[in-house]
Amino acid sequence: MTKRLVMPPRKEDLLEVIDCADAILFGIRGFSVNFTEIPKEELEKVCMTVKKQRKELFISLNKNMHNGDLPVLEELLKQCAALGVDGVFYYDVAVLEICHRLSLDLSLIWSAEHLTTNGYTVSYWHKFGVDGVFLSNEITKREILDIHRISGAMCITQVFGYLPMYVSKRHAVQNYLSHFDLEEEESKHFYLAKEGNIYPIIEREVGTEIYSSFIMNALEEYLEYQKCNMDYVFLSGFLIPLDKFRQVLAYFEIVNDENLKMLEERLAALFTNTGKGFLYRETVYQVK
Amino acid sequence: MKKKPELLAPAGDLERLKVALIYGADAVYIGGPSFGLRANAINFTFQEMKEGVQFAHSLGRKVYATVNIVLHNKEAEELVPYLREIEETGVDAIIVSDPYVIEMAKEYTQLEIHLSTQQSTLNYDAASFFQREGVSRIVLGRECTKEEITEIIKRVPIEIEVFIHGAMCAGYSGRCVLSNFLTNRDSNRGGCSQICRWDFDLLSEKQEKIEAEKDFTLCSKDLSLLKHIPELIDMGIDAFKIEGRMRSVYYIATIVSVYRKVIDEYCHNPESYEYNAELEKVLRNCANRDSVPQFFHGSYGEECSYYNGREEVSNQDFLGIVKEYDELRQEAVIEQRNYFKKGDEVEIFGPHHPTISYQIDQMVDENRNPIEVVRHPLQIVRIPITQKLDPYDMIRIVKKQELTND
Repeated sequence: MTKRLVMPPRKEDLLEVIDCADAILFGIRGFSVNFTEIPKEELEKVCMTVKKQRKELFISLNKNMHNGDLPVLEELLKQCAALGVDGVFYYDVAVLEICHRLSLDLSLIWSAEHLTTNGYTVSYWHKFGVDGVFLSNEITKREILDIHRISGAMCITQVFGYLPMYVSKRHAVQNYLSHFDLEEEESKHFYLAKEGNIYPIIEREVGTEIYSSFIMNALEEYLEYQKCNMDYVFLSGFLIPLDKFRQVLAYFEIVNDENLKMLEERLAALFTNTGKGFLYRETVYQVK
Repeated sequence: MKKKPELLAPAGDLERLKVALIYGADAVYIGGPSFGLRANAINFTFQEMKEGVQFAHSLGRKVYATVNIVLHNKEAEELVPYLREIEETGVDAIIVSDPYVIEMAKEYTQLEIHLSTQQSTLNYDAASFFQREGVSRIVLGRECTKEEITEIIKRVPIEIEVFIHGAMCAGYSGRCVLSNFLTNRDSNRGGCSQICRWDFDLLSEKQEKIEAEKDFTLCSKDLSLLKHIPELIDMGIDAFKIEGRMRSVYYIATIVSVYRKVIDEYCHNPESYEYNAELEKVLRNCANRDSVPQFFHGSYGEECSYYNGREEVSNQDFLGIVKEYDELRQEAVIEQRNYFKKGDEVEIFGPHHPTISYQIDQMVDENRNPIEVVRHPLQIVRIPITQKLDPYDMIRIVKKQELTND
């Protein structure tokens, strides 16, 4: 069975989306990038809420860790283990190292967003006790299915939502506004515009993130993933209005071969900027 | 005398490898026919790698080969034969980022393994993991501060390498795929199209344009830790890395010779060492880009970024390279790299003599016809000079402003 891992648009939206989810994902503020965040003080409460609904909870600690982050990271990992969190997304190897050192009973998900591109490296981490992988968003569907087949690890792939393209420690927008003596905006949510495309750019305490100009819609591919027993598909509500996201979740819940075309049309009516990303388009790296 | 760190320079081809080593690099890093993060550089064939290794080893220096792309399934399946070929060339280590390469290199070769900055190692726990995995050196992420580097060195018994000079990624290495999305060129497999240097309109949350004097860009200034070399040596860092496998021979010769001089001066006599600001000017003229210490002291605000007005001008200072010296006629044989003419004030610099100031009063072509200007790429000319020059000595123009200032 392919489970649906859902990230609410905002932490307040948890109960609005949980019915359509098998599992919920949140990042922890200050220790996560690219995901809807909760403060670490609310982890226990969120965990209890999710467990009460008999759903799984995944927590993301996927920022690049500096020495100064490690003591708090250690406490967070201990807390995740004590609360019975079902999985921890991580980017930095320090997470794995700490879990080993403390012999924590935690399921780890290698979530090094654009580095999770082949089944052999997934197997490498699997040998170190890493249970699963959150697959890169710039590989093809063929590669996704191959990794699922080769790696032997639990695989998670994104089927809906904006795709992260960039993470920096720098506060690029804040620096720009400051350089030109422009008034600081209250919101930390901006857009970059280039050649008719609009890219969300978000600033957080830990730096700057930039997202795709389009919303990934892999409703059709979700059916194929189900047939191949993909472990989880990920639906991101980040930057998506709640009402529309709830409709999307409903479509993914009921989609089958017969109603696919109709639901695709409905989904297309909700958004003007959906796309398939790299599912059918390979990147190149040598330009002749 | 202080322990000297290794000065590690980039080399995009055999000529640049030789120049880097002749000008004082202790080691060079090069890309092979594939699996490197500069897929569009010239790169080395296996035969050229062997030749480069022989040249380096004859000088007692080292060569490291990059195998640092992020593998996709297809490349992973072709990896082991490639690693065996690399080992055959005699390189002293490989630089890797994908941990599967570590596993395969350990299983199928005796190659020493360095961990690329592409892994963004920024803390001692991550360093410990890779140290136990058999990596002998870690190239730390460029976001590390002085204090963080010091703590990693203190806690983890492994060689530490840091970047001291060159271009910076605007984002965390490995976490930027703007190039993939905007141009379909894979940044993590060597195809980066440097979207961070593009201009964008910045819009508010309501999607209204935020007006400023210049457009928004992610572009970062270059890194230079020239001023901090004594601190870096005192910290016990094992290797200092210069970025730029696609840079010119002139750039490599200039940057390497400046850092060589500073490292040697400080290590030989730390008490009497004084920072020479003139060298900073040499670096700036060579790169045509501003440089700052970036994250080293923990600040990475607007002073680290370019908000354009910056022009991408190719460096015209480099006039030519000495191919040989004709002792009989007391003439240097020069290969042209940029336009120059009779009357130009130039400097001739090289690793084996102090910089020579010189005015070009006469020139002849290969057939000994007198000429006034040298305008053809790679044109060979002869200039009379009594001081013996060496192959790979370089000639640069002295700008009028510098003459005035001096």
